[in-house]
Amino acid sequence: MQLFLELYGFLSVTLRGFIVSAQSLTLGGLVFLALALPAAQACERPARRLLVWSARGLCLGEILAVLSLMVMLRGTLDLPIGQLLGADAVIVDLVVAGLAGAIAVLARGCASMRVCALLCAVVLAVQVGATHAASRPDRAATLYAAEFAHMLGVGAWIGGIPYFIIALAQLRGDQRRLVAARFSAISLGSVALLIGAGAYMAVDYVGEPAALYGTSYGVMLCAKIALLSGLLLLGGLNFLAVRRLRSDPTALLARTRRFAEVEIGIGLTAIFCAASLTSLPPARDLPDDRATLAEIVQRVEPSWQVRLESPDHSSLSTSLPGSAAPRDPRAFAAGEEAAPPRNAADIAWSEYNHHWAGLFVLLMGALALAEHIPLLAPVARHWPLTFLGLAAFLFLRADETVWPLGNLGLIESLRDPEIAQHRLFISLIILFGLFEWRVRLGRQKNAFAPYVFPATTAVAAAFLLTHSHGLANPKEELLIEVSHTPLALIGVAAGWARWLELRLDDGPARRIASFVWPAAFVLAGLLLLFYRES
Amino acid sequence: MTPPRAIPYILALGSSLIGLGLGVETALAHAIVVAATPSAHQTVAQPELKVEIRFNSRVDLSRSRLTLARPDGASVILPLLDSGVSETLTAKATGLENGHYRLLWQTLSIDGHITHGEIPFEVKR
Repeated sequence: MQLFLELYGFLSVTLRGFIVSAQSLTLGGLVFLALALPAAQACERPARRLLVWSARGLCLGEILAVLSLMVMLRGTLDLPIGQLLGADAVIVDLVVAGLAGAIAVLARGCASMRVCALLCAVVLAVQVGATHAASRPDRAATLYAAEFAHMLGVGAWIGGIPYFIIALAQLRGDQRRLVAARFSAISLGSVALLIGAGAYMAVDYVGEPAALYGTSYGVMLCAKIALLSGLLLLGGLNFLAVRRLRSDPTALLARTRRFAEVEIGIGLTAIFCAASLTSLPPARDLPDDRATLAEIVQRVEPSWQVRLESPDHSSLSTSLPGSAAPRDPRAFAAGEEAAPPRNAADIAWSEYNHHWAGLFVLLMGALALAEHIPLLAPVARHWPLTFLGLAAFLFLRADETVWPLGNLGLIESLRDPEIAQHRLFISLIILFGLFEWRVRLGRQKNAFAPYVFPATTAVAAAFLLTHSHGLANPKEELLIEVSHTPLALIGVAAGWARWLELRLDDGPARRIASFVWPAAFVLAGLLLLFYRES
Repeated sequence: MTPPRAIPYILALGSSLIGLGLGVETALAHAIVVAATPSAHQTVAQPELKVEIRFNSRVDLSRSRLTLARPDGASVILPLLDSGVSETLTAKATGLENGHYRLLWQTLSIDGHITHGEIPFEVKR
């Protein structure tokens, strides 16, 4: 049970992200099939299949969310089952699970998409009960409406793109142009809806400009806006391409499909960013725990004080007995515990880790750029091997309490979920590096092999984007986050630029993409080198 | 390179699965203390005390709890004075002797997030 309590935060956020994504894909599919696709098209069957699986995913996600919440409440409060079932959040999840199951059954048969879409509208209305609006003490009605409109806009736009790609691949001629024009119109309306509702909620939840940069909520919101800007750029290019489909169908069609693929990836990253936002207190609720602009500038201002010498392990707080917990946090998240205060050696240790990791990433990016120079390419193409150096470094340094530097045994340490997670990621980095290296050498022939690198980079960046957010020390959390969030956004750009390089036909866009991702790695390396915690 | 036809499905499913890697160490919580009586480290002189903890969001009182940890290490669950939905946990602590106490609280916010915390205070007469 203790292990479950410790993992609950991870489980809950994972499920919430999964649920919102599945919900968007369900809604997007229904809107697309009901409004964009002419009746009885060849692509209706694969589109319906994706819709059915999305609805099933939503149903499953909600059931798992109910079970985990009930186990958590039972474990901490020892309440009877009847009382657990009466919780508002449990009711919301159960109702949505039932509706999603009904949509999956109806969509699998020949039921009207408009009936299913109506059910999905009810799903959204109920789902608002699991957002900030439900628990706000004031202005609940207008926030309810804004949350509903925001989720509707996101689902109809982002969730509809996979169906749009299916239609583009399978339809021909006028039918294809008709679907493209209809989906463009749906997207335009959806974007207006999500931006309008999002702006209203941002003003309400953030309250004032200082909260936008001074709180984790504000910084995450800025990241979401940055992702949305990227989406709007790609969406805008696709909108223009769709209008010119008649004049140059082949070239524009290929580019539209590739950009749409990237839109899905960035769009769902933004959805997870939003799911993470719902787990943070609104910025306006933290008037006393904010960082000032001067503190943020001091932390992120580029500095060449690179720390390449490690502090002594024995000077770390984990090596010293009896460190006291911080006083008076305003709350802890479920499973979060008071962390002991960090001393100067702890900060130096962390900075040293970031700076060396930065050197590895910088080298990786520089070699990937050098691969464009024919003379250097034979050596530079081995750049994925730098992942092995990074993995070895992280193995030694990421968990200072664990063997070989700490006293905790390697196997024993895996009982700690956080350490187990780190070890898993290190293993993945090794596998990933070796895999990409074989791709570069042409030894990995599978058609999907080259996509592993961009997909993993984008997923890792998305992970970084929603990393952290304890409640015990919001100001220090923010100051760390303010430097990690740009790294995450750069990672998203790098992953999807590489994806475009692989997927686009030869041309200016592909050439630009081929320089963007190595340059992004160089930039990420520099940001890591500039990283400071004091 | 021939584009795999399953790409839309893989993108849709794979991107949904981003969630499996996301949010690790992300706190799923947002009910935080706005004001409390007694406040943290306050010294009180009376043997009875009305406890009030106000949060930034509405919480489900039937699935929230307030526990008093006494100086001798024993703990007692304080019955909440209200039920239903409110922003405030209210209870009454009685029989307070001299010493250091801790109020341990746990809430379930209406949107399903669990938070917990503690408020230390001292009784000195």
